[in-house]
Amino acid sequence: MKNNILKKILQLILNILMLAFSITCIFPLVWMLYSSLKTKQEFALNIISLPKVLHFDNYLAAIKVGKMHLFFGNSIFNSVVSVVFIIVIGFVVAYFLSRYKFKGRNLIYVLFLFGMLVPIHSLLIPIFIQFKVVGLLDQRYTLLLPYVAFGLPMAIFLFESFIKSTPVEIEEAAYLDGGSTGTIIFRIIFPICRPVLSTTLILSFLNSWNEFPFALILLRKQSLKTIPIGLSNFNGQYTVNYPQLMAAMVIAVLPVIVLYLLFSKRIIEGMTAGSVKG
Amino acid sequence: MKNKIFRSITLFLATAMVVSLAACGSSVSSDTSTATTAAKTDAVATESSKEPLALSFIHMFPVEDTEGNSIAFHKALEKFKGENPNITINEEPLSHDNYETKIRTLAAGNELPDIFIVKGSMTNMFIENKLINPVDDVLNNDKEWNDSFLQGAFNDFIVDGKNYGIPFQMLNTHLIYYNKQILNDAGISTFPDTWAGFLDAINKLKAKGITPISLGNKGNWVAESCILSTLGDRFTGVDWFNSIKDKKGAKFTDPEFVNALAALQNLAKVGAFNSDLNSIDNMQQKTAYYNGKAAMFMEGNWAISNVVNDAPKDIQDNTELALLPAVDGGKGDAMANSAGAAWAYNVNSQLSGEKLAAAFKVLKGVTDADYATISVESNAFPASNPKSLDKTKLAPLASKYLDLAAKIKAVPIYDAQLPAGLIQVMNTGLQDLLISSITPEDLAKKIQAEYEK
Amino acid sequence: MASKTLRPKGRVIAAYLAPGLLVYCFIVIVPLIISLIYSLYDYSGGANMKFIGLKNYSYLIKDMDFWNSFKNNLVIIFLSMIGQVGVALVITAAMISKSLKFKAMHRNIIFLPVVVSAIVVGFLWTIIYNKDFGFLNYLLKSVGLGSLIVPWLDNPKYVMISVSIPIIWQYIGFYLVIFLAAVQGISKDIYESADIDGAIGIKRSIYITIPLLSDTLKIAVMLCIAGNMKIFDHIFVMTGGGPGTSSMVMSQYAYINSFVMFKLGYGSAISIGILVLSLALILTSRKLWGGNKDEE
Repeated sequence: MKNNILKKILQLILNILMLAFSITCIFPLVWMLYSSLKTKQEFALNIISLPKVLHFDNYLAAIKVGKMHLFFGNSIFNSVVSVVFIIVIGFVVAYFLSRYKFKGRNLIYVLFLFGMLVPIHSLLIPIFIQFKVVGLLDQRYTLLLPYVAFGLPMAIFLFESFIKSTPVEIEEAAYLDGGSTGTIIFRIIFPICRPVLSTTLILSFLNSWNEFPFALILLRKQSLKTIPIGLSNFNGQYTVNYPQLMAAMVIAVLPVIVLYLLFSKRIIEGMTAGSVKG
Repeated sequence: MKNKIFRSITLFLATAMVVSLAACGSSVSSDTSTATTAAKTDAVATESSKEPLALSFIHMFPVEDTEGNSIAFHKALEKFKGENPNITINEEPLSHDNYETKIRTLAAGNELPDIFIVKGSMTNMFIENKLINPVDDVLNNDKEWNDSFLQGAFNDFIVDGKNYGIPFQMLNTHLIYYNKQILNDAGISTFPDTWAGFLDAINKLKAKGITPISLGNKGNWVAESCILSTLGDRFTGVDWFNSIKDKKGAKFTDPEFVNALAALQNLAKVGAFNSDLNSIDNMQQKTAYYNGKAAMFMEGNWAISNVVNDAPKDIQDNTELALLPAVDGGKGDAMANSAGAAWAYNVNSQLSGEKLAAAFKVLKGVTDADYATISVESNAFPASNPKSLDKTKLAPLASKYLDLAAKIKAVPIYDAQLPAGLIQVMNTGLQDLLISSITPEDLAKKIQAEYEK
Repeated sequence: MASKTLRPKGRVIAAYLAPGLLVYCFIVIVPLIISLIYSLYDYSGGANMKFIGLKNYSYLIKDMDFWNSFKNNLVIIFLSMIGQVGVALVITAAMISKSLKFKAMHRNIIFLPVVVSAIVVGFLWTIIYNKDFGFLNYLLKSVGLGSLIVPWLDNPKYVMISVSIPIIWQYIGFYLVIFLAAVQGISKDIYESADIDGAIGIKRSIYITIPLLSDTLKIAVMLCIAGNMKIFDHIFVMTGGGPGTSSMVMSQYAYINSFVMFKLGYGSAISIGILVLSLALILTSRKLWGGNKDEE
């Protein structure tokens, strides 16, 4: 009997701790949300308080003056297209890296490792000059290139570790059934990777969506710029309109949250299936 | 299920590729590149300045920006565009910080636009890399334009006797904004004009539980630009600075400069500032002032429009302006104040002929006396004299400033005229100085070491 | 490793790998090599380049600012291993147990900070740490712990800890999601055949789940090191490397040298330095972990 009570208490503590933790995770975002509904003066006087009246004009200003609608489309395009390429290419490379030994395998592994280790700002000027020379600056597809290239390492490593833990028997069976390499990769292994696929998809999308330095440096035309650039235009030389900036931030963050909530269902399916007797 | 996934991905990929190819196909044809237009205009023999041309202009005035300079810039530019329909200006507006990063990258990659803005501390690098030319000839050919500029407006951009920039603003980076009501309540009836009086006032304010000076030095330029540039001059005088700039023998380890550092540190030691001075920025330093919890803050003339727009009415009405008082035995003038243009326009050194003339025409439109009028009416402070000034249109604080400005003697702003590397060492060092992590002597040695590299 | 029979011809492998490798080498490897070349010059951008060989590097080795920055990065990495990876593991264990309620809600909420950009997180926490208006001080005062208030971001002694907390806070969800995804790869049979059932299911998690996650853990460690060696935005926004240089991290140091001081050659050398040190750290962590896998 004592065991039972102890168990119940521990369970309670666990749940309370998790709840507290979750609250700390969500509160700053909630704060950002209600701060965006204040006026500049209200915010300057008290940063914590709830707004007395809800001012939605910050959102109107963010969209109209900040041209968020224009940047929004560009961000969606860049993020979606780059993610597709990252997933497909990343998956293929990860598959070969994890399943087969071949000449140059270790070199390729290390090369992709490099991509994860070098700070992006260091490569800004070389990439800028390179793109300038080849004529890749300021085009619709300009940002896709660095987004895919820099997004590959993480995707590759995530896929690789997952594929490694998948038994080889499945592929061998498929091969014996007469499957070509392409079939094996895409029709058999790829679907198995669904959990890590969703994860990688969301994380890669995030990275592209929030990316800033390349979008700033490689683009000139207003019509091509992305949301993070639009957000930063709310900072003047000496002044910042914080509530307006927050409204813009909320707009910027919303699509990713929506995307995450959509895809997270996949992860949860798997989760309840995995802990079956639980 | 697997089939579907495979198919839908291939379809998606295919669509994406087609879309991107189509998109890039269209964008290549549109938009002007400076190369082709330059070729076109060169081919067209002589002038008729009515020939259509396009100029690329990257600047730091986003339309969303509510600062005076930005508002005035856009008004003036619109006016210019209306009067010159044959000149197409392809603007790329960026926020201030983004502009700094981008212009440096473009300079390093030799891909500068036709017209841009240069920061004082970048001038040397741009000149060394032949990215800009002197503007003396252009100005000398237009007396009216040349004469409209305020005295000392060009100082930050004069290198080897030649002028490399056309300024649009005259900054006074040091002003003490104080609340006269709070000072009165603490027993200070007039703003102190001696250093001892200043320290005494600080003590009186502390006794009343008020933060004497609200300082937000997170950006690390505030202490240097808004305080030290002037405080330093109080001790050293302008000759010392000029000697440093021209490398004629003055050192940062000279006792006058070290004393200035010591005086600044002393202010921090006697508790003149708030304890979180390195973690709040220049915007947040004003919050304590607006709330009546701080008696003063130090910032440049750009903050006037902030106070006018953001401060509660009673604070605003009680706000007066002053300068740091003179120091005993100091070599500087009591009315000296760090001032300068800090930023200025210039054009790409590769421009010539029609485009060059047009580019300067644009610049005239955003810097001449007419611009100055628009600028002042937008609560900004131009580098040129306004054609007409209707004082009634100004906020009271702006009027007070203009009265004070008339008496000020301009001395250089450190970060406008000294090299970027040196300023970096000075700025980070000042953060340490203010929290007593470094002694004035050691900081002086550090700065001197960077100077001698 | 798959059997030899399964292995496709070399040409096939090359064909599959080629597109990705090409793009990647063009965008990442070539600029990296260019950066390496820059580091051998005294270069301020523009046309003037003076070849100085390895001088930048000999200066770098003696540069205390660089090594202090490295030390700061190590602090972040250490705290993150515990705070990000460690805590994420614990939460993963809780997620598997039957005792936790509202799993989906928790998982989604904990992931939310990951979604927000680093700049926003840095900015939010700057406000939280604010002396007068910050939520942290407000909270401490209201539960009577006002005496614990210190200048969070102003004191060089513990500014690195203050600055690490938002970084940890933001990315716990990142590792949680990665671990959860890997957990699903664990066959249900393994759980069924094991007879263990602890007090709140934690025993099952510890003895079964964690060992099977070892591959993913390795990747997590690698991502943690890599990410925190490059960390930039959070600190840039919160302290700008201050007070003084007490919270300067290596990537910001490289940025300042290249973009503020126009010392592109030296900035590139710093970047190469970051690369080398990161590699060293990762290889060390692999060795410590026990290199029993056939590849590394």
